[in-house]
Amino acid sequence: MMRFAKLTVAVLTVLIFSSFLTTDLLAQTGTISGTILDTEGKRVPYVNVTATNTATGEDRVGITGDAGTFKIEMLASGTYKLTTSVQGFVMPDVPNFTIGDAETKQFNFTMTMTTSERMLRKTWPFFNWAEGTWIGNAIRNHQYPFAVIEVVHLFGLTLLLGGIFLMSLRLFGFIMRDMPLSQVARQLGWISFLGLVVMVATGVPLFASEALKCYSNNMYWYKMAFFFPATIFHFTLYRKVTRSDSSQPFMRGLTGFLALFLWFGVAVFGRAIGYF
Amino acid sequence: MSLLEICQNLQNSSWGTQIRESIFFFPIIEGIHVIALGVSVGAVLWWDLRLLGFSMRNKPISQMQANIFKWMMPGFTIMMITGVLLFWCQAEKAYNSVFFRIKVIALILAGVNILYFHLKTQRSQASWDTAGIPPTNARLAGLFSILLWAIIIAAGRLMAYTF
Repeated sequence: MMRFAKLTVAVLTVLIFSSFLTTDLLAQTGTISGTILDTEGKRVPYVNVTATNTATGEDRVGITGDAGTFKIEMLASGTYKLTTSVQGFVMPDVPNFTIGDAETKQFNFTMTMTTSERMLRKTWPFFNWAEGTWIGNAIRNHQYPFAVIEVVHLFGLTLLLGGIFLMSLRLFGFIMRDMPLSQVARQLGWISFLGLVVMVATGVPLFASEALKCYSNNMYWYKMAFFFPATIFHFTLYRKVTRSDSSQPFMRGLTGFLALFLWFGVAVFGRAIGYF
Repeated sequence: MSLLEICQNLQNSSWGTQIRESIFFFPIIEGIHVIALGVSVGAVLWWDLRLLGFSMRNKPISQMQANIFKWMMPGFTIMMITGVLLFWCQAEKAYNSVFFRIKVIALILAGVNILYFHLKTQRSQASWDTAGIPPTNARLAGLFSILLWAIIIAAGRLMAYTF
């Protein structure tokens, strides 16, 4: 009986080990790793490195850490294409490579920063400063101010968009046709102006309280890409066309369309900041 | 089924879950809701200011109404549709939010205010249609409308917070 038990254990042991062996033989895998630097020699974190098997289309992803290094282990043997994605950098072309069993390959690249990324990074000290101002700290460290200022910001939006919307309808010739354009502008202008003042007065402290979050939030940059042209437009072309009674219908239509497009853009991306 | 259970079912329905968990759907619907809000409430505000006698004094009230109302309606419709979708995907959260309850009450009161103005106050409109400053009842309708919409906007925005 004792002998039978020993035999069983021995057979089982051999079976278990051989099963490890076969799985290892079936799945031949290698490892790739590497370091990603920018042109100044600084390490680039948060880069998605994707190795795609050219035969099967299967892919594996590694992400660089703060040290700029990545590692993809247990990569099935085969030929791979390596791609990377990270915002603000362009990657050099890497020729396809083949990885064999238990092989380790090292890939070090230098990525080039795009011009827009370089410009963006120049603005970082400003955001850092805004975050540290007393108003930014005061809002961030208390529970209610942010919510209350947000509400007033939204009141401002109602005034601004309402004024812009009605003025655009008049510019298109849909409402108040019997009233000269300049008169409608006088009646509506102060509503949208008041709205804009309220929005800026509340928007600046809201921004200061989360400036660094805004810096790394795409929606914030899209909002600004709409906000600055919208504001310049508001005090130049829009002001001029709405106050003139002799402007061409085409010019009026264009002005109304631009006003709606620009301010709607500010509103949509402004709302989206909270979700990204 | 209690109201809470209905809200829970709505929130957990496949549509509700899809909207809530989508990266783009929720923010886009929110964005449209906010634009429709600005446009339609902004237009109402102008009308309210006319009722209060603050703007467009030389314009008959009936003409203001004919000009603005049909342009407000699409905005309100869009606000309603997007609002229902937003409620759908967070119905249980809304049910438990004091701000949502305030918002619903203010919306009902705004409706009552409009109905009262339309059915009662406006009956005598012919006699004050061209008045720069309309009678007290009409001015009150404008004032209530502004106050109620301010409450609706504030409560709607505050729903995002739990104090």
